[in-house]
This record gives sequence, structure tokens and C-alpha cells, in this order.
Amino acid sequence: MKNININLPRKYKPLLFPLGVIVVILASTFTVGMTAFDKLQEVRSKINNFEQSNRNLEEKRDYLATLSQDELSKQSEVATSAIPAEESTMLLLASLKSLANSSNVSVSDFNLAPGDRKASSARPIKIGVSISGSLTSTLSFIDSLKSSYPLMRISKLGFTVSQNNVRSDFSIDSYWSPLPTTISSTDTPLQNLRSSDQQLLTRLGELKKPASLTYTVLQPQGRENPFSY
Amino acid sequence: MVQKKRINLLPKDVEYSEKLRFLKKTSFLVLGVYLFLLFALLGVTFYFFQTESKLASMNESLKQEVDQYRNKEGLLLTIADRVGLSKSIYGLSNTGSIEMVNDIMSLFPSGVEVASVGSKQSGSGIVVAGRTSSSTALKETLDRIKGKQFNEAWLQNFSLGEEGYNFSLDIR
Repeated sequence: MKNININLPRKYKPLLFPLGVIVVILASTFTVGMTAFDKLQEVRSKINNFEQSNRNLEEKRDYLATLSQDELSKQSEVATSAIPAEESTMLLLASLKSLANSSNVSVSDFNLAPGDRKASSARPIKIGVSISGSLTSTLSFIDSLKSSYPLMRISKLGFTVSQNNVRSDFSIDSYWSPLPTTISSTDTPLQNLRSSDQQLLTRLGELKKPASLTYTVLQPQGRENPFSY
Repeated sequence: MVQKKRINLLPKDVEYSEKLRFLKKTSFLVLGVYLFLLFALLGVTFYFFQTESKLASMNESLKQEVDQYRNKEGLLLTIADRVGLSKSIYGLSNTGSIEMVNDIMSLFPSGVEVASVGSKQSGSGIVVAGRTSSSTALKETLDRIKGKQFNEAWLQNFSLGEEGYNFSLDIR
């Protein structure tokens, strides 16, 4: 085997090994070290994310565990009664008729016009109603409009008074909105209801359901099995 | 005082090889420290990976636990959505408040017949038309309007006919 002679002065030859060590160390530091450091940073950031996500999940789990399913169902029913999920004109008609009956006023004119169906917020239904009755009955009708399901807003109001009768022309906005269809990912923090939201929910719960909207389930009558002879 | 001079009698090669030996020792020491740091780095990396995998499995099990309450979360979302919408509806002004109607009706003393009350197309202000045969009742009406905190109140279409005074009020 042929020896490779490096043309170095004899006195520098012993420096080759330490120099080699230094070169290896430097090379390793810049390759292995830096790669490992980058990897460590990456893992550290993942750990931070996991820690944050776990904290959110624990908070969410603990909060959801304290909520009662029945209570939530009731509140959800109240909320969707206030603003229905569908554009139900029949519901509005029934509601207004029932309110008019209970307030002792007669409905002389009624018309409906859908509002902006693509609105991102609550979608209005424009209703025009004319009623006749005494002033007290009219005031009672206005009051019941504000305290009944679904939520209605009087946008325009006119009275014509003659003798003991008041004819009132109302422009009312009722609202509906489709239910939310997407639910956020599991580890997204919950948007808890604030105290003002809870108060509003209580207020919505105090609204009255018009009489005709309260259905009673009829008991089955006649034969138990209609196909038996 | 006589100063002692030190004389190195060793050959120069010996001194040089001593320095080289020291350099070698230092090199090995540096290599040792480097290897120690390298293993420490590997140790820390291993610890980090272990922690990451532990947190990841904890995350998975927490997600499963939260998923059990998905139904409640859906209901909560519906409630929050409806509450937000209700808030915006309640935030809109309501023309037909009982207080407002009562306020208008309280403007007119007995003897004044209210013919019509209506809100204006622009949405700001109310127009009330009425008639009375008594000038005292008319004066009292005007006094009552002055007592109320309206921005503006205009007496319009004022006329005296066979049935008495006819007028309309533009209240803002």
C-alpha cells in the first residue's frame, strides 16, 4: 500500500489530529447540532400547542359537564320559539289571530311580504295588519305583540279614531333564521353565554306562547287496531 | 543582589512535544465535552418527544371526552345564535311602545277628539289630527305639549270650522 505523503513540515504533522478533531466538531455542530436544535424547537412548539389545546379541552369538558341537558333543551326551545328556524307564515297568522282574539280586537286586513331571504342576520317577514277595537284593547294588542312568540317589531303604526272605535294600521317585522349548521372543531374554546345573554334568555323565556300555538295531544279513540274485524 | 538566570538545557524538540501533548489532551477534553453535550442534546430531544407523545395521547382522550358532550355543544350554539339575533332585534327601535301611545293620548284633555295618529314615512315624528269645539281644551293641549320633552312640536292646518277647531300636530 502506498503511503500518501503530505508535504508538510515535520513539526506541523502532529497538529493534524487535533486539527481534524476541531474540524469534525465544527462540522458536526453545524449539521447534527443545528438540525437537532431545529427539531427541538419544532417539538417544543408542538408541545406548547398540545398544552394549550389540552387546557381548552379540559375547560370545555368541565363546563359542558356542569350543564344540564334538559335545561339546555328547554332554553334552546325558548330561543327557537322567539326566532323560528323556518319562514312560517301560517305560524305568524295563527299567532296574530290569537293575539287579536285575546285582546278583543278584530283583524280587518292582513298581508305578508317576505323580506331579504339572504340576510346573514335575522331575516324579516313584513306584515301589515289593520285592527279595530277600543283604545284599551288596541293598547293590550300592542302589549301582547311585544310579549309573545315569535319576536315581532312594530316598524310603523297609525291610528284613526272615530267615536269609541280605534282603527290601527300596523307594519310589523317578524324574524326567522336558519339554525347554525356547522359546529366548531372539538378543541375550539366555547363561547360562554355572558350574564347579559342569560338575562336576555330569561326575558325570552317570559314571552307568552299565543293560545292557538299551544297544541294538545289528542288521545287515540276508537279501535286499537283499525284493521282488525 | 545577583539575579539568577534560568537556562533551558533541554533540546527544543522536547519543549515542542510537551506543547503538542498539552494540545492533544485539550483536544480530547473538548471532544469529551462535545460528546457530553451531544448526548445531553439527544437526551433532551428524547424527553421532548416523550412529552409530546404523552400530550398527544392525552389530547386524543380529551377530545373523545368532549365529543360525548357534542349534543350539548350544539344546543349551546343554537342558544347563542338565537340570543345574538334577539339582541340585534331588541336593539332596533320599536315604534309601537305602549308608553309612546299613552304619551300621545295623554296630550289631549277631554273635549278634544283625536281623528288620527300616524307615524311619518321617514320614521321620525308623529302626526296627530284632532278637533275640538272648546278653545280652552285647545289651549290645554298646547300647554301639555310644552310640558313634554319633545324635540319639536308644530301646530299645522289650524282652522276654525262649523264643528270647532281642526288642527294637526307634527311632533318630533
